[in-house]
Amino acid sequence: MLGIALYVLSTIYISYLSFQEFITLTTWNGLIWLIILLATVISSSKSFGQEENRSNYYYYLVNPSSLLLSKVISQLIVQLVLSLIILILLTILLPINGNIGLSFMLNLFAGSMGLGLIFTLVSVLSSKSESKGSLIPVLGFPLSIPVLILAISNSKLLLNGSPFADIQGNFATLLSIIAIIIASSFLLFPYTWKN
Amino acid sequence: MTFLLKHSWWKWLTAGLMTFTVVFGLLTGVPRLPILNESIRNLYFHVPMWFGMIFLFLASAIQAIKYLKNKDEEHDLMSKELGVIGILYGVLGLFTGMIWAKFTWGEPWSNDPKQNASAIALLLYFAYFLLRGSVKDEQQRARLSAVYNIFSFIMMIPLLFILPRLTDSLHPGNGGNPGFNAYDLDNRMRLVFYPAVIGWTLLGFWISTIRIRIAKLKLKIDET
Repeated sequence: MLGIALYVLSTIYISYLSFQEFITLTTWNGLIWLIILLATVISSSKSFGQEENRSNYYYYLVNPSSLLLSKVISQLIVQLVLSLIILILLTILLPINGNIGLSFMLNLFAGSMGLGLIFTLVSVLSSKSESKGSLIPVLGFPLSIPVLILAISNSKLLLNGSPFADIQGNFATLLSIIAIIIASSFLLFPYTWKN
Repeated sequence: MTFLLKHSWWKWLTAGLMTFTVVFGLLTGVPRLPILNESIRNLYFHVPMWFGMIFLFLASAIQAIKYLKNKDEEHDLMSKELGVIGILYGVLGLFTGMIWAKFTWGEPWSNDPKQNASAIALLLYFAYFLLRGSVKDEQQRARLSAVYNIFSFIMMIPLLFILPRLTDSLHPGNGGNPGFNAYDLDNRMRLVFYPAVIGWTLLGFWISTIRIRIAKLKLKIDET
């Protein structure tokens, strides 16, 4: 957890220092989502990747959906902290002019939660394969693109000062994609788990 | 001959439809539209690729579901081979589309949402084969790849159908209204277009049945 927080903090600060002169607000928008994506990859590699020795106990003790639920909850907490750090840093470092409001925060949380959910299921798959963590980005990036496209276009509009009404449709689509991800991962997870 | 007619009538149908598509697709009259001109004939070859790809991926996902249900190795095999031919169709669709775009939109890649979505759909299935390659245990491989197959098909649906409609696209039938009516498909074109879609899709399934048979034979040789 601390590692992820530090990772986000240092990446944002490095990009703040290196792009200082010529970066615009819309570029920052893309950069934020890339940082969230990479941080999610790192944090999700820990969620199932570290369970190698314990999975036999879990197999006897709990049913698969409650194990997945616990993993999802912990991942969502990580995503929440991650986006909070980003929000705080953005308001401190950038000349935002009050464009970061409640709707921006909502969109940020929703997008990062969608990413967290996708990468939780992907981390199950890659933890069972031979190559372990290195498979996560390859499997997860194409899956995460629908969520990313919606979230990026939403937050771009919001940063440029549009009201929430402008992104309403896209935001609803984003939420429904997240619902689809939740439903399918709870349906599919039991099959990956039992031997 | 009678056996073939009885049991693989759809192969005869495919052969007939493909001949019809190629001959009549190149020979019949087409409406003279600005920019498109004669290149509109690519409709008979480019668009059916996407139909074929989606049906093949759908069949692949259905076989994956069947595998998860009864753990029969055969379904895993079928799911894999259908995916291979689906990728082939996707790549062909991308290339025919790029050639078409070069002559109509001016450049092969114009950041069109449908182009991007289809490229990502292909990436998904390349990742599927990467996952297959990195698991050694056969049952584990079949189970994990079936899960990934189903999940990526579910995520592909919003990619291919919802996202291109949110933003403007150069493709006809976007920005709200679905369908091909923007092409001003006249009846001459419909007459070739629908058989072309059916023919190309059936051809894809034909190729994959051959691949499935080869894979089954290989499995048999390995076992003995």
